[in-house]
Amino acid sequence: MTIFIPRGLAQEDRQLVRYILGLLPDKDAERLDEQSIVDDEVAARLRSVENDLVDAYVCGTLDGEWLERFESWYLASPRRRDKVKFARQFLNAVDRLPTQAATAVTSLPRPVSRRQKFIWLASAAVLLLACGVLLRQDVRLRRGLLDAQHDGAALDRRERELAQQLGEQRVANDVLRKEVERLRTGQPLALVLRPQTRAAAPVSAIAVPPGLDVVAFELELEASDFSQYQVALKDPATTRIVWRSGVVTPVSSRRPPAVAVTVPASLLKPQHYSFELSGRTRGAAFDVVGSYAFQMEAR
Amino acid sequence: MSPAVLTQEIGQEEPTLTEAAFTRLLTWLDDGADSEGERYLEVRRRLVAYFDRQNRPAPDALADHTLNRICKTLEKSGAIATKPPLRYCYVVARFVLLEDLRRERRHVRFDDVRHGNAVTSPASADGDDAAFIQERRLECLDRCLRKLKPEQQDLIVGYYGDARRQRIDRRRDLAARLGITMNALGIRAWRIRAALENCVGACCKDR
Repeated sequence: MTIFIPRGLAQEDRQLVRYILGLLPDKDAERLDEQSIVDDEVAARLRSVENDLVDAYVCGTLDGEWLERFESWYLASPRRRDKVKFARQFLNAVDRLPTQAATAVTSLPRPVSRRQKFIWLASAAVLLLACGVLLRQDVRLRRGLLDAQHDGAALDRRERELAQQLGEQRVANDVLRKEVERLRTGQPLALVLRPQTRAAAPVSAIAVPPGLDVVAFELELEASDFSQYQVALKDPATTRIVWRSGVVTPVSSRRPPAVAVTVPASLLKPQHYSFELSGRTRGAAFDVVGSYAFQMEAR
Repeated sequence: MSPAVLTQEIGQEEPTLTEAAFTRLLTWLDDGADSEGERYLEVRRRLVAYFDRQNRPAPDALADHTLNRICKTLEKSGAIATKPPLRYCYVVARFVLLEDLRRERRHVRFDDVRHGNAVTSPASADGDDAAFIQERRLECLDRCLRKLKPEQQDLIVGYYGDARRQRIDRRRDLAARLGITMNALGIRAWRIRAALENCVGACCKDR
């Protein structure tokens, strides 16, 4: 007998096969009847052997007496016939599973009915129609895509230009921001004063915004004859010196050259003032070299 | 109680069990453990298989009748001394079987073909119906297989796959790989197969 079940089957399992096929003597069958309900191990083993027996029948590896008995005895029960039907479908499905286990179980092969054939043909026709429509749409979309790509390139260029402009604007803003910050922190703007001449010229009027701590002045020089200067702020009405600078050197990079000083803003009242500029060569005494009048406006 | 009354009882619809009586039956079958109803289902499966092996035409009804009878006994006497509980189940099942056989002898005509010796041909539905039913079952199997976890799929492929070839060595390897005995492997594989079978049955009824 060349069937799957007997090969490598333990004697106990062979006896279980005979029990399932109704081939055991009554006494042995009754013993297994009881064990099949009472003994967990026998119950489990019996189910396993029964499944293998059914699978062997389905696969066509059962023959001889057992095949004959299987068909005459085992298949007599509707429930057991259902088991065989299930086994046929189950084994077919299991044999398809290895390539699918990692992903999902795909549809199993099944017999094709006329109704199914009609459905398939109808589906194919609909699919063909849909393909045509999709093809047209595809061409239209491709054309649209090319246009969009072209527009996209132009937009890219424009974007780059705008980015460059934006960058420049940012730099300019940064300069302005720094300037504002400088003002806010009291770094003075320089007010340029020219030396008084004999000609009647209007006096510079200066309005200092509130919040400044110091006011910077640049006193333009007629000539850069000295290396060191000193500046005194005088009240012309009283000739009193309100403020005096330290020794300063001219800003040689400036044209015309000038002497830069910063005066505490708190000293400046709304009135006339004049700077008296003195210069000297190194080691010599200061000599007055010029005067710079201005009118301080109310804040 | 006369045999006629007994056979009538088996054939008739069982009176509904009370929830308390059913709970008592579950507790008794669990025999100290709490299987959450699993033991009851397992016992019922064994009883159905037992009656089916005796070629009884309604094994499910006989299994239910057996359990109902045990339930009533528990309700009346409060306890059953026989241990383990499954041995008592078998004893009651044997009585139920004998009663059913007796009932059949009284009702089956002499010239009727004996069920146990008859080779019943597969379902006699016509070709289209059979194809439709088979198609439905395959759809259900497909659906039920999708519900399995990947490791369950791997197990049944390893256990039941390629049935024409020698399975023993493959199963031994599989058991070693999973670190379990062959018996444990067999039980696991059977559980999955039985669950699939139940799933397909339920699915076919629903559709």
